[in-house]
Amino acid sequence: MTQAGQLDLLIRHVQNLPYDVAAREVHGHFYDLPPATARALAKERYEQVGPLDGAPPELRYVANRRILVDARRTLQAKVAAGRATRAQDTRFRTLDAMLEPVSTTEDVDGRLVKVVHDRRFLYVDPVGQGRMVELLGEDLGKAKNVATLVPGLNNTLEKTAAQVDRGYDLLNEAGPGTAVVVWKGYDAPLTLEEAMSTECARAAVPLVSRFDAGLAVVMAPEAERTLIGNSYGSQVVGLALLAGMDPESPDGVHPDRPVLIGCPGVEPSVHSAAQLVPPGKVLYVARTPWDYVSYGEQFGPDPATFPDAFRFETRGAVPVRGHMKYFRKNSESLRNLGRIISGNLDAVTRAAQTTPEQESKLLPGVSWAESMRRLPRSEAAAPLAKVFDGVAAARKLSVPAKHKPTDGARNRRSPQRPEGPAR
Amino acid sequence: MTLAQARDFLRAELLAAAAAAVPGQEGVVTRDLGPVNPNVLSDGSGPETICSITVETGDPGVVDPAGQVAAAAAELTARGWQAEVEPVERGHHRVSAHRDGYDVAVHGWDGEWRLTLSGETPEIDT
Repeated sequence: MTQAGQLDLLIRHVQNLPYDVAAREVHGHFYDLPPATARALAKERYEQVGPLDGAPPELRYVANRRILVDARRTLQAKVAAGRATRAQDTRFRTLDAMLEPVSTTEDVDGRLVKVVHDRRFLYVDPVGQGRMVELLGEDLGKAKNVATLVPGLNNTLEKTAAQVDRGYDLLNEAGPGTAVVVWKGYDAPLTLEEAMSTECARAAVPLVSRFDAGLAVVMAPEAERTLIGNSYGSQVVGLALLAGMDPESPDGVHPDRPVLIGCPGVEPSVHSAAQLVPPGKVLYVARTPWDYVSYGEQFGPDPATFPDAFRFETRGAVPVRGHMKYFRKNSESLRNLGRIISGNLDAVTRAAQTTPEQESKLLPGVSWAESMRRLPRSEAAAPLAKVFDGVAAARKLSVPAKHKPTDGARNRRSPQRPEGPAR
Repeated sequence: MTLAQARDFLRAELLAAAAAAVPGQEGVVTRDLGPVNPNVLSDGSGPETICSITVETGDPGVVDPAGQVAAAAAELTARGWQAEVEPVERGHHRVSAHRDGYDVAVHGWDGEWRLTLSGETPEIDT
């Protein structure tokens, strides 16, 4: 049988296996192949190898790049012929940016030298809102610490650049020997109305679970994993942790250090860390003052209120306030995330157990957190979300697209390039 | 100031600090993302309001994170930044610097010759 035929058999075989068993079998299959054969297979059957959890990362980078090149070529023909829709035109430029190399530095004969390499995608899906999983920093097989960041609402393929930027900030904070994976491997809710439902998160749980199992077999055995869910992404991670505690569930994630930040709650019945992590593991949580998403408790109690979770500090010399500032440079929030990822756990600073009412106090006895908590359950919630989404859609039509350079080299060429997508 | 001007300013400041931190080496801009919207819960269609830039420098023959971050801090201070060398934390040497809404972080590590300087512009409507 040909290698391609064996791959087809393997994929069919592992489809219904437990994720960890499937990942090990996939890994073993490729491990047994001569390197040249494995690489040729990744090039020939890139659509199968690109998303295959457990396959060697280096092969997936090759395969996913081919998927991007194909998708870009298809759209390029439409753009060149003037037949592309606005969305296709935007996606074309996004794919173009994803194919741009990234820069780093190396020691070459005692000199600091700039080197460029292709981006390392562990998964790409250029269709629909788009999905992608990208590795930053150290190679997975060498990293001492591996962090996965799961973003939330409104992250299309066009908007992942900002998430990748956060990933680099996490890398800088955690230091050498760290790998960060930006996991936008699911269809995120794109409107507030969608975000009021757990549908996207529930659909994401098996996806992140399978990815987590695949990660485990390609990492260094002694490496430690941090899984960070932010905003709606924390709902995804929370549900995946919950599934991991259920021996009957085929799904579940098992990070060494789970982190939930800006969380709208997991489930109405989940009110303690012990429901999400086994004994001996710490659930790290954070809520900034004025985080209206956490205050809203759309899906259940805010993990920052769990009595047995470690609520880490977000405030320091750099002011952090509201739902969007957890990754602010030099903030205590970002520093603590770096400490958690690197395993410098004694240095993680603990936040005071303030209540939403204390954090959102406007005047003595007057705060707005309670009304936020009532809003998601009120009859006005759905109509208000629709109004917000309608305003957002109207703004989208009126805002021109913009160019997105990805590194200095690209930037220097930008005046000759067409305008790029908004993010 | 326009966002493009802010971006140029930040880039120049980071390169200047890198040059002062590691004399004889030219800092390398490893990331210059261009405008991004940092607000995860925005509708994403609005103005892209910040620029984020990373510069790496270092002398592969010299491992001196303490001296290099101190030199970076001194240069930033001389250029009008409020820069502070933070206490070393498990081999992590750091400078945090602020100026007119810009934020810069300089990271060095024990045993590591590479120094990373990253910065963000303030949010500016485009």
